[in-house]
Amino acid sequence: MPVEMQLASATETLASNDSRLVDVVDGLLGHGVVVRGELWLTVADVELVFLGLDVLLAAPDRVRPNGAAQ
Amino acid sequence: MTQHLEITTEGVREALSGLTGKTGRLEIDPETVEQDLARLVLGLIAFLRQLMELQAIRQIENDSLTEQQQEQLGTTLMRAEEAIHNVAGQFNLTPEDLSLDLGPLGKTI
Amino acid sequence: MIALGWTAAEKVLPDDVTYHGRGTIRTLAMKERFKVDARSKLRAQVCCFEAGIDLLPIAPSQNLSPAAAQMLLAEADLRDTVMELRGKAQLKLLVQMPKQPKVDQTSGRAWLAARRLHLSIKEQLVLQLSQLARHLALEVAPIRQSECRMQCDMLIPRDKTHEVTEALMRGLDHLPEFDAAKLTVTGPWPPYGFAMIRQTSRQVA
Repeated sequence: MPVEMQLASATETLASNDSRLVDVVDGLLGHGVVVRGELWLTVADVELVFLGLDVLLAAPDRVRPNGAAQ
Repeated sequence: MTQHLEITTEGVREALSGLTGKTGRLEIDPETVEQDLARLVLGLIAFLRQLMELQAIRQIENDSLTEQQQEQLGTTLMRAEEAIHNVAGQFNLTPEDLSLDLGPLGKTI
Repeated sequence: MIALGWTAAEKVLPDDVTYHGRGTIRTLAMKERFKVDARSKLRAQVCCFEAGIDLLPIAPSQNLSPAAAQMLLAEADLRDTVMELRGKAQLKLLVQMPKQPKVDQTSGRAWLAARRLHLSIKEQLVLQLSQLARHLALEVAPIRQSECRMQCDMLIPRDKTHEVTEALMRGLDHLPEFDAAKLTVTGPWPPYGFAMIRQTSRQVA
């Protein structure tokens, strides 16, 4: 049995100062429909650089056929 | 289980967008320019270090590393983490400030 | 105006929120009185949701104009998702584990082994949670994890919120003890964890 369990409604969570509930709210901010990962570098509210983050990182065994375990 | 290591383009994009925090922007304030840049750079480095750690653990699970290799890898990854945290500390950044939301991959640090 | 999400509902909206566009599925938009931050968008989305308006939410950290949201609706085939998520809500489970114990800093191997152990405990927990969700016939979004924290979104029928929450709490209560993990269940929320666009669409900002 877990040491501690807690149940909170959405409204309670939004209004709470409890650090765990604040974490839940923070987590939600980035969820939902996201058009694409994007990063604007801004200075004094001026958008200077847009990074379109179309990068791909892969584990070596996905790149090298001899290690393809899956 | 290898679910930690499923790295997709989408996951990475989302990961990097996590850097921008709540606003979708990395705001570089003239007052805090050093800290903001440090957060961007260290966040990326910490993210790559984390990927290497997960990969190392997976290779141990596959028995593909000798004891000596494990020792070297472990030491390097441990020191790298320390170094990143130390540098972050100099910019008044906590390890949590460098955290990247990796979506399905998991938030790294 | 800033877009909050899409809905097929035709109900009276909370203050500061309006419909945008025509047709069976419309964009919900928020009047921008002040500079709207992500938190106030989240609050407005929850407010709509609690007023009985099912919505496919846009991530609060993302800024989309209502016009861009309408375009996205057509381009990214979001209509099906809006319809699929009608009558659905999500519960959010947060699992918190104690920080990693300090290990012998002189042995790289021991350090790596400690990390591996921590990871395997988390994987066990993920497995148990997945089994519990399957047992309760709940769809689960990919589990998000950080070093000591895990977040699990479960899709539930809105009209069975109470029963499902009770069953989930009972199920969690019967989990084996995992390294003094603390569990927090929150919700019902709009289905944030199930509102992903699978294919990256063109940038419409």
